[in-house]
Amino acid sequence: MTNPEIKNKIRRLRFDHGEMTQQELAKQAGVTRQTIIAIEAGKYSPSLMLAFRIAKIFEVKIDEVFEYPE
Amino acid sequence: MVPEQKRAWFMLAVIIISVICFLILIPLIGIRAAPAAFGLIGFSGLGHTLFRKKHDPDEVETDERDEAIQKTATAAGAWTSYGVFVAACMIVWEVCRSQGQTTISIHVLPLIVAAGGITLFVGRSIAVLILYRRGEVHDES
Repeated sequence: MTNPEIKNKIRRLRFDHGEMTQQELAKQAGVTRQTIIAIEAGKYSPSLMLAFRIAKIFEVKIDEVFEYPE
Repeated sequence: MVPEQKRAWFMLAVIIISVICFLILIPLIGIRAAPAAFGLIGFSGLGHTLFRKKHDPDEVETDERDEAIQKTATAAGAWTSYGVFVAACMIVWEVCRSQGQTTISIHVLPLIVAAGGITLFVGRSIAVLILYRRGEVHDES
């Protein structure tokens, strides 16, 4: 069984938050920029803890950042 | 390219050089002494010194994705190594059996172990490169 790609709105949220760079988001989330790049591209599904941290940075609920495909 | 990828490339380069040296040494000093060339693999340990991440207070050195990649790569390397080890044992058995031999030279045993051990590092390095490559699609700062 393959995991479906979890969609996310990180790119749009970054731009809504003063064109936040991937580096800035990575620093605040406590991960590397490569990980943010991979998450944005849907190539890596973050842990629940990291997903919550990213949602908290953007001050939104987790389901406003990540979307499980129907 | 992150330091882990550089270390993986370095590891592969060192292993390729040691295998080439091994093949060159076989006609020169014989199959019994030629595996000494695999001692060169020890230089791969320098990868951790040569390819260290520069300390940047704005960026973490490793995170959960790095750990996940390293865990998966190590498992991939271990399973590949196990497969090669079993295959090497069975090939030696089949060759000896077909030639009517009932014993195996003790000089073959280190080669079987070396094949398994080297495959562990090769498999892990290749898996690291593949897994990191998957995420490199959209790179902006």
